[in-house]
Amino acid sequence: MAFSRWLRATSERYLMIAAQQRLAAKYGVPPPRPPRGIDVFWLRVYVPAYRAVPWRLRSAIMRRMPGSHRLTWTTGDRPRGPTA
Amino acid sequence: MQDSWREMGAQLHFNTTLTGFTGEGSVRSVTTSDGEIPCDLAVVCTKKVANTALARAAGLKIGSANGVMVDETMRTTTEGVWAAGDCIEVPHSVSQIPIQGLSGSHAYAQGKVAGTNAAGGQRKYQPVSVPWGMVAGEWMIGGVSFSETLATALGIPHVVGVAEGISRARYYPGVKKIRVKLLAEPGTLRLIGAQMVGSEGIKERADFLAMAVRTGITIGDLATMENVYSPPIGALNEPIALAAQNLLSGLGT
Repeated sequence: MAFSRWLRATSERYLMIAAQQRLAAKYGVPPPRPPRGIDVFWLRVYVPAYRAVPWRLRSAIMRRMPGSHRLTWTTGDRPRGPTA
Repeated sequence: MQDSWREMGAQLHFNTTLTGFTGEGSVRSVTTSDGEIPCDLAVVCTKKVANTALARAAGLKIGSANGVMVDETMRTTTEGVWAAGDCIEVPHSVSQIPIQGLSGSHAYAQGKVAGTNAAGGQRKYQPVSVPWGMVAGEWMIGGVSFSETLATALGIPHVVGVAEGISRARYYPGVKKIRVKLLAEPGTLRLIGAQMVGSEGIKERADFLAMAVRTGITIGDLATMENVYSPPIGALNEPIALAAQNLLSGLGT
């Protein structure tokens, strides 16, 4: 697996676990199991570091990664005004 | 939903890790971090992973979502080759980040675009908002685009509005509750996601909200939306509009 794909898949997994922990506390539902082993690094180091970066910068980095979004995707102009 | 599943006889094991299967010829039990659970059938649910080996061998470029890269015509990075379905990745309509592993309806629509263009026609596909819905016990759940968990995970700035409404007139037989959560971009208040739970009308609302996300509809638009009031099929107040109104109230607008 290419590094960018591995990073994305692993990052998504731990960001989701961290989000589930937050929302479990917010809504009073069972949280994910406590981190063990390598989980500790991702949840206690990577996730806070990720969150410290402003969304605009994070978004810009993600859009620089290879993918379909870097090929041509247009959104058609929508007509305005009365239709009849 | 958990209560509903339990009432239907299901036993739920949260935060339990599957460690193996036992049995010869057929499964007899699963071993877990919570002990051994006897069973006659095991259903394994995992995310879909695209098999891009053939595409990779043919020299097609693969994106960060592990899908074949395509443009809006479903054309790959190799001249004369189009692709569609679970093996490709397409941009999300809100984040523009490519995603992979969508539904059969996405694959079918992509196939029509790819086939038309491969045959010399002209058809375009759109970035996706991914409406979804499913049955959960006696409930239906559904949504579109970002859930609160996913938006929190990615760190996408968002504001949330929640409301509980009803599926038909309150005095009409069979009336059911519908709970709607809307997520919007701060400032512009454009809709970026929704989650719903109810007993009917979830699929149709998810489809509608997917179009709302795609077209950039705002919470203000939804708060003032018109809705069908017909006692057997539609309540006086649309739950989506109530959630939008609550979001605006929470912002003091």
